[in-house]
Amino acid sequence: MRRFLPLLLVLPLLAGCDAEGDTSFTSQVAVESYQIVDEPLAPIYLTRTVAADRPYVPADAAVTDAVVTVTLVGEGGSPDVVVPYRLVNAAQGRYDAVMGGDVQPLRTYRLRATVPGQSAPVTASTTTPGRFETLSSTDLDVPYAPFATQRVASFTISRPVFPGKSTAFVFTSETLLQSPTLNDVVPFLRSILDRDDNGTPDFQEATDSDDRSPTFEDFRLGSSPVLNEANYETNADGSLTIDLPWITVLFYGDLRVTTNAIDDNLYDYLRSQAIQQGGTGLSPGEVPNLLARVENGTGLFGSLSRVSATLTVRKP
Amino acid sequence: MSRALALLLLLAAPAALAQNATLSGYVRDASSGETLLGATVQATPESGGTAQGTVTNTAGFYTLTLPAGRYRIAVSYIGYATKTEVLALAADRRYDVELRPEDEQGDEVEVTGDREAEEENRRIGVTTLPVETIKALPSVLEPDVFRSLQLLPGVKAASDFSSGLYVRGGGPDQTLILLDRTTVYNPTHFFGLFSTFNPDAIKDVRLFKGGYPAEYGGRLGSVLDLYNRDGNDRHLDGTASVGLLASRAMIEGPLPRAEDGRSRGSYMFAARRSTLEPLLAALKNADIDGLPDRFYFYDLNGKVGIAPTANDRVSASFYAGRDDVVLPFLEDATVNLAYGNVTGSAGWTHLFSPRLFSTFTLTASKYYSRPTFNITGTRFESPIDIGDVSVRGDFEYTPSQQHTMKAGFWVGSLDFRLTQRFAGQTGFSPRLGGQYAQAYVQERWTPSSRLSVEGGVRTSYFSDGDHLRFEPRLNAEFRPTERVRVQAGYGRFYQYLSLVSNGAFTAADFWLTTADSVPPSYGDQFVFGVKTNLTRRLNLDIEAYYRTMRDLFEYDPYIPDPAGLPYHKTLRFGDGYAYGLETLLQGQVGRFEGFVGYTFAVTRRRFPDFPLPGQQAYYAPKYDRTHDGNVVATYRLGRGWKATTVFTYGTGQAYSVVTGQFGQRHSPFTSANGTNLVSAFNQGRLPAYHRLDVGFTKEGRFFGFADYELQLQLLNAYSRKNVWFYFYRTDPDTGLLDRVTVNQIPVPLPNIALTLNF
Repeated sequence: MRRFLPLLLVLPLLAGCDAEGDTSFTSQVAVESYQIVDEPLAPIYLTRTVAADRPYVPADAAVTDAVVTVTLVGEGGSPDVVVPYRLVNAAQGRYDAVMGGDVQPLRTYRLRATVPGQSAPVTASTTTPGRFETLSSTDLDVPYAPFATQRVASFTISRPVFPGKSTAFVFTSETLLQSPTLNDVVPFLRSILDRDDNGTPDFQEATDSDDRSPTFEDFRLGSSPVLNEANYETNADGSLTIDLPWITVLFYGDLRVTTNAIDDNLYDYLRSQAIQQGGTGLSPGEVPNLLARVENGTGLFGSLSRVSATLTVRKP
Repeated sequence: MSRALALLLLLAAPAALAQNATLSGYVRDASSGETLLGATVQATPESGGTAQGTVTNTAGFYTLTLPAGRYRIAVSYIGYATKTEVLALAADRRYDVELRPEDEQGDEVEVTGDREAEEENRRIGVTTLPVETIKALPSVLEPDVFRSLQLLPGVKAASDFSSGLYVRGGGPDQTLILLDRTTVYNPTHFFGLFSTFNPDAIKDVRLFKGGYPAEYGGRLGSVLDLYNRDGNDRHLDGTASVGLLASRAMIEGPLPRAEDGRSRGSYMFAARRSTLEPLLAALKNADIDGLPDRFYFYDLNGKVGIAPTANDRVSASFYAGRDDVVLPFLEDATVNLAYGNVTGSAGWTHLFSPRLFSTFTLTASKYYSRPTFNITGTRFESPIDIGDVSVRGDFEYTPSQQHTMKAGFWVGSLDFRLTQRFAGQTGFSPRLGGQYAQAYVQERWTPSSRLSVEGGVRTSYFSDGDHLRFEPRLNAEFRPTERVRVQAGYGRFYQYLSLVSNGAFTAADFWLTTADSVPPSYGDQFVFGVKTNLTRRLNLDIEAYYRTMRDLFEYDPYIPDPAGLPYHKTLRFGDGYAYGLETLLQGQVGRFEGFVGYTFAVTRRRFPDFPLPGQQAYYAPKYDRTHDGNVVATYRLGRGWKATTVFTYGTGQAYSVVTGQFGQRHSPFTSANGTNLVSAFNQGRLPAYHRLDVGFTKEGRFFGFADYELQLQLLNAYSRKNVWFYFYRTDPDTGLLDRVTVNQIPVPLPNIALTLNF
């Protein structure tokens, strides 16, 4: 027995090289596009992913020589309308539709981008959400009172948005103030932006003092997490009553609040983006990839439909 | 299997009844009356012949069925003086034994302990850890059972901040944790920093790392079986310990004796509480930001036992613990985490005959957690409640020395509730659970002193989903020489629960159960081991294992809002495997005592569409380490001084290597520029982990009225900055991706504690 002990002890050392897996990087074309129902066909932004040790500079990453089309798919999958796109902003890798026409609800759009040097085209498709409208709204002029029972912006909207399936929503809130100051933001945001505990609030100063500190622009437009339709009360007539969560209110004054119904691609993109640096059941340091429904590339070719209203939040 | 067992019993019993007599009884500590679990009882015929032995069970009871005759009986237990006596055995005989702790003979005496006598500790997959060792090891804040177990081969820690047990490739939910036969669901304090089990109150710690017998079930991987102290039935006794950040006290003693002087029973109460408030107040006075408004934990243990007859003992025990923190951050934002466990059990052990021992237990376990986040008036809540009430019965029958049969049942009701509320709206709120029933039968067959075979089958049923499963178990031991044991084991294991945890902060952990469309997880384990007594006081154990994990179910991390989804749609299902080799050199050389452990291990898991859509590739979970080594050594310096050192080395854990990035510049949902990461999920390895902890202990008399123990400890003595994880952020000006390192305990951490035993 003792003769074999050294062998037994050494075996795992021989077998157990702590090898890393494949960590090589291959640059891909990244798509960014948000098609909005009843609005003109949205731009397609094409860039390239860059290696982690290289700076991401949009102008350098932009793909400027692609041939891009978006096809409205007809009944049975045959092309209904093929819309060519052309490059309009090389620094952004932005391609705009060369034909007019609004995005139609409950239709499928297919993206195809042929990129020189890449044998397979980048493709993706989205099925747009249906139209919906606000049937009634309440609490659109309220004092800022998040810890009280005061409700803020309750909407009753028509259903269904996607016939036969549950809809995911994202709420956004955008300040309509042109030049807000720290006095125009709620205490939570103020404590984030006001890096100088004693000095006079100054957004620009705060931004300059620490190049990583959040800026005012970061919060002008904010959103809720992705929420399921089932989170809300369905009324007897089938309509849905939804309440804006206070967490989306970061400014006093007039706000544009928007209810966005999102398609499957946006749902996958947003939910995976949200957990890239931490999520339920993930250990610290585990970074899952985006659920990108793009073939031969990555990113997002998604769609949404939306309704907006103006909310006034009075400073207490 | 069961037919074979019945046949064996039928063959064995008549012969046994005709010729044999039974020696049985309890083995106790002479100073306290505590029963000793796993003590070895060996009978050697005076006339010559092969010795036969057994070990005490989890109640400290043993049964030896022998041919009539004169025997030299040796009863031994590690850390106690062996007791030897010659007995004539003509008929069944009760023989209770009391062993005297060797340290009662003075601290200059070398601690002895015959490691050959550690029968229970040498069983396949089993490790026991003396409570005195746990108390002696350097620790953060408090001596900790789990932290001590993490030093053993095959048991890993996720980080310095997590006391979760990762045994042989399984996550913390794959270890069944029993306190006085009661399941404990989240046994952590400080959000996972250390475990809830107060070593003052614990008598025995036994870890079945794998291939465990049919008498246990319910988890894919391992079982941690803990027992509270019964209490000193000889005299009033107690300890009080004052530490830097936590203090504890324990009192135990006999119940009033019967008129004939016979012990009626004993009691034990222990309490532990953090004492952070003065430190927090001082830091607040110094205008330190980021401090909690409230932060404490406590736990209480108690046990009362009475012995109405020599053949009966009735006991009741409880545990209650709670953590509570309120942490404000920024303006209008607070985190409130409060969670705790309450368990209770009532047990009755009864000897139907010297050959039939039984235990009946009524258990109740409750876990609750109230994590609440308040941000600008929007409240996120996810209250969690777990209730588990059960009745179990276990029987141990020893018809002859060649056969020991065990059988039992465990039935209960489980109730899991999780309610996620966002801004007052109730979202995901599954109410899970159901009734469960388990039964087992197992037989240990010892045809000769060189060979033993233990086989059994366990059946389990869970009402939610109507799942019924059978779990065969088999292990065997062959002793080619007196000093060598060759062991092999196989078992199938089912698990009806799954824990959702990020391995960092346990207050938000929650459990899931099987249901319709959610089958139980299952796995097979194969274990092979060689255990040797190199010398009388030096053991070398080697164990190899391979295990599968199938139908693993866990919360799908990609689900942002599970409201309205069918339960099974909120889960993802996968599989995995693990294999490894463990070596443990343990013993005593002169004034040195301790162990050296080494583990080679591989763990892999996979889930559909993960790590990329359309793929299902195996990956290493975060806690996977290929090589792990620990050295634990205690040196008795003399004059009451003792030095303890722990050195840990492990190759790097898995982490996700971010290989690239791309921007998000045009979102209609945010005005901030976003960065998307391209990740090689858990394909990288963190730098190697290593840490040295040292401690000194001085024992002596405290002003003549108590024994004292002063502990001076330093963790992470050479200030190793072990990496916990990385996170990433993009510099908005340069576009460069910055990898930020988050370290584990980065500085030397002192700990001082004074304990009085009176």
